[in-house]
Amino acid sequence: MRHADIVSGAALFIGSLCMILWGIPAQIDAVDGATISPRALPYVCAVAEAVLSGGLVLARLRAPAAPDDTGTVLSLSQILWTGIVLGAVLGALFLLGTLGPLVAGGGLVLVLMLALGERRPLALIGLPAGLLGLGWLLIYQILGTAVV
Amino acid sequence: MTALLNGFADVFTAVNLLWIVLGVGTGYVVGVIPGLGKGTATAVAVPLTFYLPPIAAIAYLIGISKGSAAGSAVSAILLNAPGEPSSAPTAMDGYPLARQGKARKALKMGLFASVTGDVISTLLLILLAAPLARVAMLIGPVELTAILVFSLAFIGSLSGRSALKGIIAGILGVFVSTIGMEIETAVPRMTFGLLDLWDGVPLIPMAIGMLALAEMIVQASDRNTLELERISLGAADAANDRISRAEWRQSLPAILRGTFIGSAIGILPGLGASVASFISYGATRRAASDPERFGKGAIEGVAASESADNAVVPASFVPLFAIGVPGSVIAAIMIGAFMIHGLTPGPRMFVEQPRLVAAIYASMLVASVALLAIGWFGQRLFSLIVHVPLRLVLPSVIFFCCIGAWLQGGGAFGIVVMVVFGLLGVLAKQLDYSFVTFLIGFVIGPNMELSMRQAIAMTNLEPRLFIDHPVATVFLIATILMVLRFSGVRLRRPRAATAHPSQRREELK
Repeated sequence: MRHADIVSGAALFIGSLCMILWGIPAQIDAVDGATISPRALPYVCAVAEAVLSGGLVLARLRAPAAPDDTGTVLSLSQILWTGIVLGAVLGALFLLGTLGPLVAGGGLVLVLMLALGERRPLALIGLPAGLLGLGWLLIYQILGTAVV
Repeated sequence: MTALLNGFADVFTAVNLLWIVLGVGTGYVVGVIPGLGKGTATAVAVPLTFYLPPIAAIAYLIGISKGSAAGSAVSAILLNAPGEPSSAPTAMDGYPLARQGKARKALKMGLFASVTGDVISTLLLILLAAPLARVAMLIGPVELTAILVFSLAFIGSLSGRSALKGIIAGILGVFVSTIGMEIETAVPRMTFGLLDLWDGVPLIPMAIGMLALAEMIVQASDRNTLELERISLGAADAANDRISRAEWRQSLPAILRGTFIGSAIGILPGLGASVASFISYGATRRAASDPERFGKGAIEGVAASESADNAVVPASFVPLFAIGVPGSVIAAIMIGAFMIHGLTPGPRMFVEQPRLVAAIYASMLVASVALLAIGWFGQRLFSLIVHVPLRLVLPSVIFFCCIGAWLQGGGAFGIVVMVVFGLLGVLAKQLDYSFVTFLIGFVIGPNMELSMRQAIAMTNLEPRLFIDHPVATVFLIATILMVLRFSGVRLRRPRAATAHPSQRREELK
């Protein structure tokens, strides 16, 4: 965790500096006559973030390394599943715009079930159908709106 | 008293009782779904009440808010996926209890703590609404700013293994809350040209991403181990379901402390249930003779968190009823519902519509009883969630996450926000940056900025403000000391070789 703290602290420190030097001045207009500038709280946060993340890096650099600290916090499985789940959701979002909510919702559930190892045909048909039915009931019937 | 009895008479009709039970039941089910908390449930339900009579409509919404507040503990305990941020402390000990085969015990304690906190807080609302509202009105912007800063530092210092990282996460949350149009000058901040960001980052999709979606990803990657644990849960001894006398004795002070903290924080606008449940959890852990049990399955942890969480909702109606200012997200949503049904929250409602106010009080008490009954009889059903294979649970939860993000985030943008914060949630979880502190920072950020602006306008930041506002000064000094203490900064040079070698080895681990 020491190594990961140093890397994440350094990333936050650099990110905070970028916000102070570029992000806030470029993305928030300076306004005259306001009680406090719209930039004030973002600046306060970014400066505090830079100080604390810098402090975190220094503190961890001074601490001795544990023998079992490999610096790896995300396993290969976690990276893989992050990609699968987020990819499936974004894929469903794309299908929503092209083929509609039935294919998008059903496809999302089906892909995730298959990826997780479900192979029973009844479950592979029943769960997506049941969830789509519930979604339809909630969105179209109860709330009276639509997925468009 | 006569008005309250009249209110009970109005509520005790078959139709109104049915709507209360329906509300609590719906809320409970929605609360169980990770990421769909009481705010979402109540907001989604408000349009459903357009065609109902006022008492039935308000009773239904109150039932939903109470049911979902209690229901969110179920997913926190069984799946380690809190229904909403305020249930995150419940998961800290509830989930380890479930993994030890004591899921129903944790659920029972969560239910009793929820109902106790809820009932006592409702009684406080009925008995003390006006006097307590007067006290709340004394808290000015300077004090509120100091209290919010202190709360953030306090919560950050309690979360995770590193207080410094907890505070960093909280400040990052405040920073993200500044994205969007600034309210005084209407200047867009950090929107990068995206119109969707002008209203800021939507809270519900962000919370669903960081809490529910990230948890689903981690569970998916660790599913083989979890499936084995679920099988072992099924083999748990039935004796584990019972709460022993000793556990009641341990938990009762935690419930009362949590109820008090939740009620007090609910009355103060801007703090909310998450702050209450974390402070209550932290206070109970500090009060315990063996705090190392917390996080590993201490049942008082569940009691402390749930009692405070559920005490906040009724207490947050105090400033709403007394001065028309909502003390929580639920209270803010309920303003809209009250207005739809001809009731304007504020001091005049006690004069103009005392019978309707009494009916609201009565509905709240009846909803508490319904909560106990539905929670008690439905627990066996909810406990079955642990026996459903992950390959069915995870796709279902992710599907509902998408629906929640879609509904609350304005369509596709909500899902994109959920995905982005889902990724950040996985990183935060693995790097031990508290995503709950991040969310709390995000929620209290706008209030912090508003009160800071008012405080600066009032005081011009003259040094005299520290003399004129001693309460604020005390909170600010406490914040600085806490940050220094938990960041590892020593005010005095440590004496050499004070620690035993074995202790130093432990510190290195």
